[in-house]
Amino acid sequence: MSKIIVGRYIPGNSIVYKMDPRGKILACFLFIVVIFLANNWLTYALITIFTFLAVIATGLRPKTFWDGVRPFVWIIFFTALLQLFFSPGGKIYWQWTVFSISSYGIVSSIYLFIRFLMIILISTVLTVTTTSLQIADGIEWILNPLKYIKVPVAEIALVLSIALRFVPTLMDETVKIANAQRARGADFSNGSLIQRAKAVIPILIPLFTNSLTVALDLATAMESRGYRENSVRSRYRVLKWTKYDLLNLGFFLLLVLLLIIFRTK
Amino acid sequence: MAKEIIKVNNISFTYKDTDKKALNNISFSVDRGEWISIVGHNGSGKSTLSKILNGLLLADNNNESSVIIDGLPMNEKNVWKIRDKIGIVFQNPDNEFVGATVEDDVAFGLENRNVDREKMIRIVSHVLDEVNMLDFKKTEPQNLSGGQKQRVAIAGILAVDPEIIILDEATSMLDPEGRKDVLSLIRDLQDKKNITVLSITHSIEEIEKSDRILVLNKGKLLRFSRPDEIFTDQVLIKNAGLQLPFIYQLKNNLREKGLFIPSNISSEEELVEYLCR
Repeated sequence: MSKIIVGRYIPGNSIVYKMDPRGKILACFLFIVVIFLANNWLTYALITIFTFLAVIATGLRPKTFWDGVRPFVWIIFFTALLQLFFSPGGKIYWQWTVFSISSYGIVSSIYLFIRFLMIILISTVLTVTTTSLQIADGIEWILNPLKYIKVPVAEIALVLSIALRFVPTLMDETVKIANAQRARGADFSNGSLIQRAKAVIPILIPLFTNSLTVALDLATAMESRGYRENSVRSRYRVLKWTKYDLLNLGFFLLLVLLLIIFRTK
Repeated sequence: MAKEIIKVNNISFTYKDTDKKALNNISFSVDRGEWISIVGHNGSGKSTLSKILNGLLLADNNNESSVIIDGLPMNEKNVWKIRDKIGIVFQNPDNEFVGATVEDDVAFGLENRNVDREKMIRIVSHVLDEVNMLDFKKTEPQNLSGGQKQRVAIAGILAVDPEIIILDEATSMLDPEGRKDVLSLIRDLQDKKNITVLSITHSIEEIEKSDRILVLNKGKLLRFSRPDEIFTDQVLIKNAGLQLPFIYQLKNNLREKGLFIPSNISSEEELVEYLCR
């Protein structure tokens, strides 16, 4: 569990940390869109340079990013290989029944490899430098226009921030319950697949009832502290655009422009 | 300012899934600035009573019954005004923490009241300073101890400046050190701001130091009077299942051994002085 880096925040103090989460989320999201603009070596090189600049700007150790990529290594290689063997076109170097290696296949599998890697790296940059709370605030801001089609954005934001606030609490709870069941002789790491699935029940059921109890307690506490549905609430946490966001979005805009200029028609 | 801040008149309460009354014809009134302990067996209706006081539960419909908080009768229209006046600290600090950090949680009540942001920032720092938690402003709840969480909960309540604080077994999950801290904190605040405190508790030191004790048993109000009157009533103690404070135990034991102790002695110093004479 602790190996998965995506979705984990690592405290730091570089420029990327000072950026507004809204800008980072937008840039990250749009990056995944504009990456498909790239269609030649130059544009792919631009994307790679942009990504590595972002990675360097975080000021984190390279190992962090390797941890981010590692869980996806197999998917990347698998899709790259599929691309390599199943895309005929151009000069064909080797062929056996349906498999073939062609010049077109080699190039497109390398493109795919780069595209995959850069998307993962950029998402890792976002998640390791932004706390889940900041991400929730950013998402709320992005969802804000949906208010006009009667989407309860404020409620969604509250649900999101409460959910995030209870992730560590429920994690702790799970460990506690698992240990309590172990103390009574439960075995979670042996036996067949079915036996192991059954062993999870003594964890899941208490966890489920516990979370309902917590929800009820929390609802009581919130109500007694004056929370009312659909009322006007002020906000304590606000996001502020800074000069770093100008840098972030300006840089991103530059990338988009360059991609559009240099892509082959 | 009326002296009487809480007036409860003949209320009963029945939970939906039973016929048994959780509260049965209860009437009492509390003066401003008093520290009241509410005691009784498990299931005697203490928590139900606290929820009725801030309108989380509504008392059974009855013509003669009423709950009046600071001059406001409890009804649909007044319930939010009444909640502004009452702050409750609940039993389990883990489950009442709304915000993702300490400052967010303290600000929650203010956000609900649509307080201006500049003002919120000032109030949050001020109340966190009051409960001695200013250094933990940015901390997440899972990194706090139970006592610290309760302090934050108290700060969240102080932020909205209530007239009445209800402690619903707020110290029962804390170790003796944490309990002492939290209680002395509330006592200081009570002195400073003349807040009324209603404390549901099993802790004998706390009960002993309160102004008056409200004894509940099976939904009925057994007695509502001063500690020395309650602790000298053997029958009542037995019925309510109360423990005696050390001084009263000692007095009883001495009496059994044939030593006469006057009943007006109710503190350790007085007893020491009497015995030395």
